[in-house]
Amino acid sequence: MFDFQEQEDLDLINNRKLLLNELELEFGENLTLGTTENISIVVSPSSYLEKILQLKNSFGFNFFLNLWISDNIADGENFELMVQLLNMDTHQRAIITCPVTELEPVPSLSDIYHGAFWCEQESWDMYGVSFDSIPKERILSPEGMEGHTLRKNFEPKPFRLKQSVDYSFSPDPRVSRSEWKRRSVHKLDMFGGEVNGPLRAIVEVYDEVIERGRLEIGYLHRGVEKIFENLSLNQIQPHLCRINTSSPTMFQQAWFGGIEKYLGVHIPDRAKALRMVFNELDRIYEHLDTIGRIVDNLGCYPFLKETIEMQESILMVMKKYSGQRLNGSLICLGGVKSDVPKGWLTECLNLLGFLEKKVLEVTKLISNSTLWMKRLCRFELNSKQAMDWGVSGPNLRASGVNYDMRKVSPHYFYNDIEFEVPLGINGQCYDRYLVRVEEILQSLSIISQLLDNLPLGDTKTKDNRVLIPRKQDVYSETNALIQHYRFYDGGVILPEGEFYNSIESSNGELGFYVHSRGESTLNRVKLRTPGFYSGQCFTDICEGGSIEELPLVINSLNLVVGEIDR
Amino acid sequence: MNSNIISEVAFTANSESFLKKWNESILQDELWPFPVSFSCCASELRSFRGMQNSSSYVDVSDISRPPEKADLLIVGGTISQKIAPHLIDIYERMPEEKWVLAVGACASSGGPYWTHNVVQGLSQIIPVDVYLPGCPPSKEMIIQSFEAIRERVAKKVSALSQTRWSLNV
Amino acid sequence: MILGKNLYSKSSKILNLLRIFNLILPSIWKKSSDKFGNSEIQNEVGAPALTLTDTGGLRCTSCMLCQNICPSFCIKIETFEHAEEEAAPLNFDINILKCTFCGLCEEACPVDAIRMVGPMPMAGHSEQNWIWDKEYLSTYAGELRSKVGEDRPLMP
Repeated sequence: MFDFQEQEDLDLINNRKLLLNELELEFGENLTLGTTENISIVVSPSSYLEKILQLKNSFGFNFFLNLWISDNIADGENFELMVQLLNMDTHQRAIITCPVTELEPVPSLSDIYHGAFWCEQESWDMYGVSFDSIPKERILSPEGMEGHTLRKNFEPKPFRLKQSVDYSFSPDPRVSRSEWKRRSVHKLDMFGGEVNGPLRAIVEVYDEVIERGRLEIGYLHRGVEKIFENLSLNQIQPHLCRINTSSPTMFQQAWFGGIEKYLGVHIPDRAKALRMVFNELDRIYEHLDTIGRIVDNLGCYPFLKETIEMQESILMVMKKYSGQRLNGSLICLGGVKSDVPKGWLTECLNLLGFLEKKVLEVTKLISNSTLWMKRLCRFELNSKQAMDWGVSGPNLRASGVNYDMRKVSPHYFYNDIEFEVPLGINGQCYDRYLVRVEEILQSLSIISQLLDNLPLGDTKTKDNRVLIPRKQDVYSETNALIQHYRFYDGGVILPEGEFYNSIESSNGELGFYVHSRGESTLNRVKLRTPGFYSGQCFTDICEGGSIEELPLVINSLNLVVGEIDR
Repeated sequence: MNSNIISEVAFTANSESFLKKWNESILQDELWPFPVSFSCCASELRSFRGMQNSSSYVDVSDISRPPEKADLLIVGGTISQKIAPHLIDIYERMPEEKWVLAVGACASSGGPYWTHNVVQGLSQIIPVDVYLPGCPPSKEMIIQSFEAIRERVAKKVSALSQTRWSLNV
Repeated sequence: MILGKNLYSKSSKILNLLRIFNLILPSIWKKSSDKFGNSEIQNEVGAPALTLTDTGGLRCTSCMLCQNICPSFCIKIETFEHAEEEAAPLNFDINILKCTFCGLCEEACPVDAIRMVGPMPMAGHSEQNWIWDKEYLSTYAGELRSKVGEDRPLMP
């Protein structure tokens, strides 16, 4: 075992060196190396499409991560377009930068990578940069608004909301024109509670069978990225838990882990283990949410009560730790909020035994029944489409692709723990349901391994740049009082530069990109949430169903609208 | 059912006043709600639905009831500019006697989101009866808020009648 | 591993039948989630409240650190004109409909003047006053007299 692991590591290092040599030959001085895992490349606008095609075909960057616009130059007119790609063999991410302005349209990437379609529409909505062959329609902001929100000189003005929007489809190239004219277009509003948030689906129907469809988003757009640019670093904590309320500690881990890596702060071992325990508990909570919604859509109300009872028991244990059920800020800068209270470890172990019995009880009764399989073995998503749209997480593993960030680029103690990664076969709703059930059982064994070997020590770091002094010292010593004022009046200031940090959350890859100019507020923050890309692949899946089954399709992908709209 | 209902209803002149008195006495026993929830407060309302008995004043377990048959509108979560016309449409489809409950900090006053895209409170678009602060409020607080609505129903006070009254004057 | 026996354990058919009955008649059996979280919770979060000194005046010195750090901007402080007259504020308003009970104001205060120990606000009619002023904040949670330097269970 030991030799096999060492051989794998040596192979990975050799492959990365080969790739870097080839890239240096091609790009020369336009290539810079941030860390061993993040590469940045600068491209000119005339050779933009050609270089990206070359990266996809000959260098192996075939997974699309993100596309956004940033205003790193302090000008009102010159922006920078950034595209992020992933190489699945050497696990390296490349950010390709290209300078753009508002006046010239940029060639579109939606033929090469399908997942860039909504990203380019959002770039026009927020900054005003236009793309070839992408319609100039608002996707997140309401129709009829003037101006572009994320520019630094934006001033809000009152406007009149445009109510009648054109919802027609373009002619279908797969069938003849006369057949296309017989179809009709319908809208389905899901504002009540069928889906996790407000969404609207627009479908083209012939004889009660759906031929094509798409989703309309933007009903919960709160402007979180604009808020992040106007608050100081210590004020941001309450906003992180409220983006996706089923897994708040995942967002806190991605944010604070990135800042600590950038500043070079080391946290003690006990804090690392406790952060991993909270992340796995949130993963279980969100998978139980998905299973409960699938069960509710098929009409079994007693099973929904069982999953809600399991979720309540998890929340009771979290309340005993921090005092609040859902939005308690457990992870903070430099460690965990406080030490474990008395008796919490035994309660947590009792919870694990209770959950394991209940999950096996409920799912053994329904997973093997033929009626369940008949209703769920439909709506297929194959692996090539999934990697094109940028889908990751359990939705990608249900299509058969073996990619889990906890195994390939592990952080903290994931290297020393034994667990398995479940895979699906066909990519249907049944596979997505079974992968989530098995991941709950694997998470339970991860938590029990961590709690058995919990390291001793402090729960917060002693680094002076980040440490808040204890309250007893603030009341009595002047040094601590001066540091307290310095921390709360100015705040922690990040040095000039940019970074990107990502973890494996319960829906896929979750990442934060931050650029700072050395001032007390940040310049640009971009969130890469997994729900934005799973929502785009709805256009491939919905064919062949009926209108009553649409909430089932959306719930099996676990689309959380707080993540999509931000 | 109240035992006074027969004595109240017996002295009616025509069928319209008979139905009005019948409706008012039924509202003392049970209210039919229409819950709408968008973001974080949806998880609290959903767990409330899972742990409820069917013999309480407001029964939230049947979500297929349309707004034309509901008396109480429960709103939770952040309200954006794009969804405000749909809320007003739902409110106008409800019958004449109706009450509104705003759950959470975002629905009461906009919460921590001070951007221009978020409506700063439900009272800017429809008249509200009872507020429930918290982020999110716990299940015991939701049960206690139904008692406040019961008081208002017994005394026939509603925010809708007060606004119409002030507009007429 | 402590849970080695429970994970991946096999069960007999009779127990499976009993489990089906358990699901069909849930109201008779006691809810298992009542077992968790019933012991005393020491650090439950409450609503903000102002503390008093030994002589009965407010401990607050109007340093404005809590107003600057609140993410919802729900605290408003007004001071007297001259600082020698009185260090305590003239007006201290909290709009309780906007508060998210995050606890940042308690972390930021250097003199232990505001603590989150009050009872959580109840539902109320829309005509009542939802802005809590100085007198209400210092008396509604009982008379809180804080001793500077005491051991606080909430923040380390």
